[in-house]
Amino acid sequence: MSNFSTFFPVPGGGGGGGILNEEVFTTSGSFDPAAKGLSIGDKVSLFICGGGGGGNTYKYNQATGGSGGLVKQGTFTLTSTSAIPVNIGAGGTTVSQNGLFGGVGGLTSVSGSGVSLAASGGNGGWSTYTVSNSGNASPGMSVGPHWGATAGYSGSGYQSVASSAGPGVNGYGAGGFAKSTAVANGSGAISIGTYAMQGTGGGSGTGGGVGMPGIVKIYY
Amino acid sequence: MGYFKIENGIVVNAIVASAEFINTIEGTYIESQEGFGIGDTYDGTSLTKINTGPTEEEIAIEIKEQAKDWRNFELEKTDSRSAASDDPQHDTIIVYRQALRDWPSTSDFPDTKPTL
Repeated sequence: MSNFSTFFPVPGGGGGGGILNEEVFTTSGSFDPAAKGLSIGDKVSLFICGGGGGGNTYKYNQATGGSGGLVKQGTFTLTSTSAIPVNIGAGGTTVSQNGLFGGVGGLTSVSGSGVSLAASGGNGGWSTYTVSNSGNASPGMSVGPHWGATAGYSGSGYQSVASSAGPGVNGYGAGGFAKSTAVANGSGAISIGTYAMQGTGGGSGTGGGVGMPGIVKIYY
Repeated sequence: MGYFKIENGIVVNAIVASAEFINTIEGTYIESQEGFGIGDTYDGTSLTKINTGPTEEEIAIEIKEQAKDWRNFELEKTDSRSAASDDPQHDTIIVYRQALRDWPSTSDFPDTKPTL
């Protein structure tokens, strides 16, 4: 059975090579090193993503999409071959009330046998009437890979101030879209979240929804 | 299926898992319920949402304030054109501006805006 240490041989080591095996979790479960033929001292590499934040489906006025779940990666040396629990963060719930945030996405975590990695869920999106003249969504607000899009109202008049959602990491953990009925054209803000890969934040405003659950990929 | 992890009466995490898996891990978990999530409270029997938003009255006030903002913005935008008697839409703009001024005292306010 190939493992991480044969794919990336230690300095002075022999050849190695080959393609890593992968186990993907989209619901919680256990990774069993022994069943994979792994031994103490072998390495495993993880890619994990928290659950996406939920959207607020209230249709007015300013809206921000739910943030995508955080993405983390790491490589670990097994200290045991006992089964390792894998918890997949759920997507945040949606709300449909002015001024509230969508639910926070769940924490995705893998912990045991020398492995310890956790990625928090994204924050919920927002929709509100209550910022008519200050604190408006501003272009460029969505600057990180996980940030939700913004769309909304500008205090001096109705105009689009939408900004795009973050693209996530390899598509995972993307920000959710935002669409406000006060914005004539929010298309700039809705293109990313609709991919709906694991960990994507829920959309806010018109047509919003819940966040996507997280994911864990284990390479060995 | 979704589950909430409960610690000290608070939902501290939400995960997707099978019932079989939940039975193998430590901690207190309950089946998730729609509309509830991380940060809400659990008294051992039922969940309580801790989010509190503005009241309907506060929302209504805000809607009217924003509508007036929009009305004022429209008046500002059309001000110079209303003074230009050679504007091809001069008469229409005059009517529109009057409708904007009257709007807050009509039953259309704030849901249905005057149109040019």
